[in-house]
Formats: sequence, C-alpha cells, structure tokens
Amino acid sequence: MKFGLKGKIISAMLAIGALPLSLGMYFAYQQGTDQLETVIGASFEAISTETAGKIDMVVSEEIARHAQFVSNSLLISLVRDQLVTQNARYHTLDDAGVAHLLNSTEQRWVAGVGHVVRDITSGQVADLLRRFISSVPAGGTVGGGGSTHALFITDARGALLASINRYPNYSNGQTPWWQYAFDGGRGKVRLSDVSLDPKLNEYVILLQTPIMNLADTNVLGIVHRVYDASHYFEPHIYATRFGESGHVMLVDSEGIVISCPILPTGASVDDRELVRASSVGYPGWVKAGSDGHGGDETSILGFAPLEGLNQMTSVLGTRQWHTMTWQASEELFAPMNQLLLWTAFAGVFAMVLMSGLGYYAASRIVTPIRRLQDSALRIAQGELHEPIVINTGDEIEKLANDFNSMNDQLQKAFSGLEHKVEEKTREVVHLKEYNEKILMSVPVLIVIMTEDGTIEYVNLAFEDLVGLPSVDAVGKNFFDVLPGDKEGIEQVRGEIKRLSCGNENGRYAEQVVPNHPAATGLLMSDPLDPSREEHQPDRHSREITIADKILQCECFRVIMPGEGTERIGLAMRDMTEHRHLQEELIRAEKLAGLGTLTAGIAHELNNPLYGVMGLAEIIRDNDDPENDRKHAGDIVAHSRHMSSVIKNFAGYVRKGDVDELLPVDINQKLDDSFKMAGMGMVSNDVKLKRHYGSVPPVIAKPDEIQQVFVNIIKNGIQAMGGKGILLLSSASEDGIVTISIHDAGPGIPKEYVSRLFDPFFTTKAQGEGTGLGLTIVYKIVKKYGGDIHFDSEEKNGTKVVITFPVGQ
Amino acid sequence: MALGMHIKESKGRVLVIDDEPEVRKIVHLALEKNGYDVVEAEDGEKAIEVIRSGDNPLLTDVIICDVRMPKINGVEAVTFFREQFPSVSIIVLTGYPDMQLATSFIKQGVMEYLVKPVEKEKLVATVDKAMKARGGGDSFSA
Repeated sequence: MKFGLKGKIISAMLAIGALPLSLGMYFAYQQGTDQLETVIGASFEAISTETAGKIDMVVSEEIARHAQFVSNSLLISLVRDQLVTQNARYHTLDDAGVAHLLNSTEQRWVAGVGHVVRDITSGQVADLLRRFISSVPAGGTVGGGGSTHALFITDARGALLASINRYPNYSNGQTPWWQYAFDGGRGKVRLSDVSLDPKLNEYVILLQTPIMNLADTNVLGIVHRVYDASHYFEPHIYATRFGESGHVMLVDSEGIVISCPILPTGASVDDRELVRASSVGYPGWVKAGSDGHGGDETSILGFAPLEGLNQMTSVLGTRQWHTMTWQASEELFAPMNQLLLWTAFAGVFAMVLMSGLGYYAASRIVTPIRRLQDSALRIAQGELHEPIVINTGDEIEKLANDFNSMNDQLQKAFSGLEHKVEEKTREVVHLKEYNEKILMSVPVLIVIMTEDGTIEYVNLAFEDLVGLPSVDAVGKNFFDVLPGDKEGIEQVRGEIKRLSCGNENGRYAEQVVPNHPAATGLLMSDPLDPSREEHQPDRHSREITIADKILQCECFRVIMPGEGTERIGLAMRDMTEHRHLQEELIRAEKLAGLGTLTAGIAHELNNPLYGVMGLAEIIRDNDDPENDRKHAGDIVAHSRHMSSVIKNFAGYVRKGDVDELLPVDINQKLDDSFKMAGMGMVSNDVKLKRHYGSVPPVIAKPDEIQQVFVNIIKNGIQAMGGKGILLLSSASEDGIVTISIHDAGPGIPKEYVSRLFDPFFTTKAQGEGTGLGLTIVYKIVKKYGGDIHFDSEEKNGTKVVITFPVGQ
Repeated sequence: MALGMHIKESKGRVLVIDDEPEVRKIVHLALEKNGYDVVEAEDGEKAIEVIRSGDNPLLTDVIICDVRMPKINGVEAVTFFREQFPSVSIIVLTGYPDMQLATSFIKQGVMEYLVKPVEKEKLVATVDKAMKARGGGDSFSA
C-alpha cells in the first residue's frame, strides 16, 4: 500500500519529467552534433583552403623561378650557340638523315657513350642547370632536396640538349608533353598531372618551361623538370597536421592521391562520391559515408581546389588538383561522443534527482493520506476518540475534517446503539432465564434431540434422572446417555423410530380411545382416571422403565422456526409413584375383593359348619334319634363341601402377589373366574353357557386377568339377580383375542354407559362394593394393551367385550 | 279350635329366614326342643308373606334372619321389619362376621348379631332374651 501511492506519484513524475527531458536531450544532442559538424567541416575547409593556397603559391613560385631561369641571358646565349652548332650539323642533312643522326645519337646516349654523355651532362648548360637547382635553399617553399628527379633541356626539336643526369630520353619530340610545351613554337609553360614514371617507378610531376629567344617569338628550347610528386609536396602536406590523425592530402579530380601522409602517392580514393563531391572546383566540406582512407566510417572532409594550378593544368584536359582535410572518425567524433555521454549522464542524473524529489514530494502528499487511512481504520474499529489533525491546507485537510465529523456522528450512534443493545441483551437474558427456570422447574423430563438421537437440550429433571449435567449431555447420543435396562431403552428407541417414521399402524398402544370429556389438568388428576389417556394425533405415549423408574414417555415433533428442520422431543413423566399407588389401589381393590371373598368364604364355610355343628348337637342331645344316621351322613356331606370350598380358596390365593407376566389361558381363566365370582354370591341360580374358541395365551399377570373377569362376571350375575343365563365366549383373530361376557340382566341405561369406568360410580347401595371395580378393570385392560366396551340393550342384557392383543 | 289349637305352652313364635334348608332345620329343631314355635321362610319375600298372611293366628315374636339372601337381602328385610313390626325382636344369624354390619344392625334395633356356627345353647339363650325384651311370654301382636 505504501508503495502504491508514493510509487505512483514518483512514477508519474518520472514519466512526466522523463519524456520532455529525453526529448530535450535528444534535440540538444542532435543540435550539438550538427553544430559541431558544421564547425568541423568549416575548419576542415579552411585548412584545405589554406593548404591549397600554400601549395598553389609554392608551385607558382616554382614556375616563376623557372620563368626567371629561362630568361637568363647566359642560358639563352648558350642554348642558342648549341642550337647554331646543331643546326649547322643538321643543315647538311635531310629529314631522313636528321632522323638517323638523332637515332644514332640516342643509341649512343643510351649506350652511355662517353662524349655524348659528357656533352649533355657536363656541358655548360648542364652546369647552369645544376647551379639553378642548388640555388634554391633547401628548407624553402620549394620541394625538398631529392624531390627533383630530373632537370634537362631539350632543343627545338625535342632532342636532349643538357641534363643533370641520364634520366631523360634523347629524343622527346614526339611526346605529347613536349609538343604541348613547344606549342608549335610558341612555347607554353606546362605542369603535368601526376603519373607513374615507368623508368623511375615513381609518381612524378613534370614542369616544362620553354626558353624563348629575346624577341620572345621562338622557342629555343624547353626546360624540363621532373618532380617526385609525393616528395615535392611533402613539406607542406606533411606539415599540416592536427590532432592525432588530422592531416591534409593532395588529390586530383580522379581521386589519385598526389601527396598524403597516410596514403601512398598514386593510390586511389575509392569513394567515387567523395571524389566527385570534393572535386567541385570550390572549397567546401562534406560528410561522407567513408573516410577516403579505406574505412567506411562516417567522416567529415574539408576540401579546396588549387585554383591557380588548376587553371594552368586545365587546358590539356588534365585533372584538377585539390586538397582534402581529414581526421579519423574516432577523433573527429570524439567530442560528439563525449557530448552524448555527458548528455546521457546529465539525463540520468536528472532522473535520479527527479526520483529523489519525487519521493520527497510523494511522501509529503502520501503521509497525510496514510494518516487518514489509519484514522479511518480506527474509526471503523470504534477506537478513535480524538480528532484527526492535518494541516496541509488542501483537500486532504478538508477530508480530515469531514472524517472528524463523521467520527463524531458514529460515536454518537454507537453509544446510542450500545445502550440499546445492552437493554435488549438484558431483556433477552431475562427471557432466557425465565424460560430456563420454567423448563427447569417443570417436573416433566424434557429432552430435545435431532432425528438421529443427538441431544440438543435437556432440562433439570432429566439431568437428575441420568445424573449428567446438561453440558455433558448435550451432543451425546440419547441412547448412550440413558441409564438402565436395555429393554426400556429399546422400547424408547422403538417409540422414537415409530414417531419419526410417521403414522404407525402397529398394534401397540395406538388403539385410539376417543377423547374423554372429563379431561383434567395433568398434575392434579386422579391417577385412576381413565380420561387421562387422552389421545392426540401428534403425541404418543408409552410407559417404559428406566433405572427402576417407571416413566410415561411421550414423543412429539418440534418444527424449528426458520430452519424447517425437525427435532424430536421427549417428555417423560415419572410415574413411578403413580404406578405404585395405582398398584396399591389395585391391590387394595383386590384385597377389598378379597375381603368380599373372605366374606364369601366365611359365609361359604360357616354355613356348612353350622350344619355340622347343629347336626352334631342334635345327635349329641338325642333330639331326633331316628334320624341320627341321616344326620351323620349330612355331617359328612357338609364336611366335604367345606373341604372343596377351602380347596378352591387355596387355589385362588397364592402366597403374596405374583408379579410375573405369564401366559394366561383365557378359557381356563374364565372358568376359574366364574367359580370365584360365584363364591362371594349368595345364590347361584346362574346357568353358564360357554362358547370358547381356540385362543392363544395372553401374556399378563394372571391375577389381574382374573380380577377383570371376576369383576365383570360378578356384575353380570348381580345384574341378573343371581338367576339366568350367563354366556362366556372367547375367540381369536388376527392376533387379537376377544372375550365376551353376556348376562341376561336388565342392561345398562344409556346415560350410565359413559360413566361406567368412573371411579366410585356405582349403582349399588352404599357399602356394596368399592365402586372402583370397573375402574380397575379398565386400568388393567388398558395396561395390557387391550380394550373394553359395553354392548347394552335394555332388553338383551349386557354384553361386555374385552380384547387383548396377543403376544403381549 | 282355631285360636287355641296351636298353643301348646309355646314360649313364643320364632320366624326363621334363611335360604339354606339345613340351617332352617337345625334352628327349627333346636328351638322347638326348647319350647318355641318355629316358622320357616326361605327369603325375605316369603317371610313377609308369612307374617302378613292370616294363616297363622299367632304372630311372630322373634325373627331370626340371615343377611345374604337373594331378592330382598337381610339388610333391607331388617329395615322393613323394624319399620313395619317394631315390636318384633330381630336376631341376625349370618355366616359372615362383619363388625361394621353388626354395629349398624344394632343401631337399627336388632337384638343380636350371631355368627354361624352358633351353639344350640347360645341360640336358645338369645331367643329367650329376645322374648323377654319383647315383653315376657305374652304373645299378643304388636
């Protein structure tokens, strides 16, 4: 981030600065270079011009001295004399003869015949020639010593007259250069181009000066001088040096080097362009693609023509001479390169400087921004309490002020908000605690779990049952946490499964009992009140045993708000005491029944006992002696009767209560119950009819089943007044056993039917029965998953139908 | 002779109500031997008939009745007798020893609550007592 803005500013500055800088520098460089070139070119031109002028002068002087020499009267007279002599010789001869004489003389010259040679090289004229040469001071503006290859005079015919050496040919009359100088007798001074002399194998320049007679009308002879091209100009050319490689050279318009310190005379400047450009006939300078010295680097060359000379030599169509000034490219462009270097350096320096300044400027700009950013962050975290102070005097300062006011607003909002949040939190906490208290206080055990049994909530009552604080219970699986027997847990599991699978169509506890109008509040109701078994579609209750406690267990679904998922809730009520109480009541009823039974037994036994006693007394007191035997027999009969009553009674009462669930033979039980019911009764005028089917045993406590049957049968007998037909039938179908007890009594009035099972509801007189008989019957039937209902028509007696599921 | 024929120095008339013939026989015998005149009825209904019928010129002095009887049970009978024939002494003779019942009977004015089996002597003595309470051997009707 830091680099971001600063970097951007610096980059911007660099970009903004660099472009003009580069352009400026480029232009500066360009301009500089151009200027330099011009300057260099101009100076080269000047050097060329000066050198050209100098050489021009030298040569002009040379020519002038020659002109002076040939006007020497002595020379003229000597030459004339020789001529006269020769003429005398030639006069006698014809042309052929002249030619022959010339020839032979040449041969003798070539052969080196003494007197010929002596004549030419040692004559007076030759001496003059020699004196002429040496009269020139060596270091003067003339060519240096040794630069003259030959100096000789030819006569009007071109024949060698005098020479300082043996160089020249004898007859030169046919040569073009002689002819030019002779000019048909008029005589012309001539300076030749550079040419390679085959004899010398050197590049030479010829100067021919005609010797005119006094009248200046006739050519007497020509003075020839052969200069060594390079040596002659050397002093001037070689003297003009500058720098390391800067020098002047003398070339002709064909590009042949006449004199150059570097290139040999006769070498050719191979850049035709250059040659052409520099041979324009006026001084100047060019920038050429080659340096004229064989290299192909760009060079600047100055040039200037030898004007005087060129005028002289132009007549024959010979080449023009000019000087060229040259310097090696490295040296030449060195200043320019250096300029480039310095410019570049300056540029880099400028960039560095810009960067530095830019960095500084960026910092100045970025720092307050960063401060702002910092403050914004702290505002967002609610930590900023003092105002931001920025004094840049620009928009950033304004921004800072805006931030400050925003911060103030936020602070106010926050504190208001915090206050509200506190309030709400307190409310929520209060509500939560309130709810917690309720749930904790409810004596019902509440567990909320997910469909796979993971506990989400348990209340205090549950904690007490399982001995786990709720923090430990939450998250565990419900079945892992339950204490107690597997059976109980499996029952619960089954129940929950049934619940989560939707509607059950099992036979367990699901046979619907219609809503009892006498539904009462849960906690305050009488435990024997059958109306408590209210049935609501979403709740299913069962009794299970966990850790020696009997719990009435109800499953229910909880649809979670906002999630659409479901939880399973389990409400369990500790019915242990209830059930025990219930069982106590049942036992009490049974005992009451027993009481009745005891009464019956007592009655049953006391009567025959009285018979025994009374008859025995009669026998003892001899009150009716004739019938003594009969009386004794009756005593025996009574005794037997008593014995059988006792047997029956013993069969009925077992030691203590039998708590086991056993398979109960229904038909047998019905028979036994009938006998039992009769025992407590006074008169037994009841005719028993039995329609027993093949009925599988019902698993139950036998005493309780008997209690049910005895109760119903007794009621039936009583309803009939002890007289009539009692029909007992049993049948089994689809796993349900149906028992019916049908009496021939008056039936039950309709308005009583719904109240039959109400506790203490009885139509008997006070003191007759407990009024709990049917209530208990109902309880027992329900306990075993069965059902009971009354078919009662006032003319057809009462039929009680009891059903039990089998295998129970 | 109507009025005096049956009077043979009987101490009084006793009505025995019990659905067991044997019981009736024994009581009958026991009381007869002791000078009482005994009439039998097998249940409450019959008993009322007997009392009301003009059959017997002599009216009952003492009733001995059982409790558990069909049709009209002993309790109802007693109540009936006490209302209708307040001067007749009642002795309850039952096979069932129910103290509560006994107490309520006594409250109703029953003379004695006897539990079977009862010895002859006790029975006779109780009847004697009942006769005396009634007002001697006078067998006038109430």
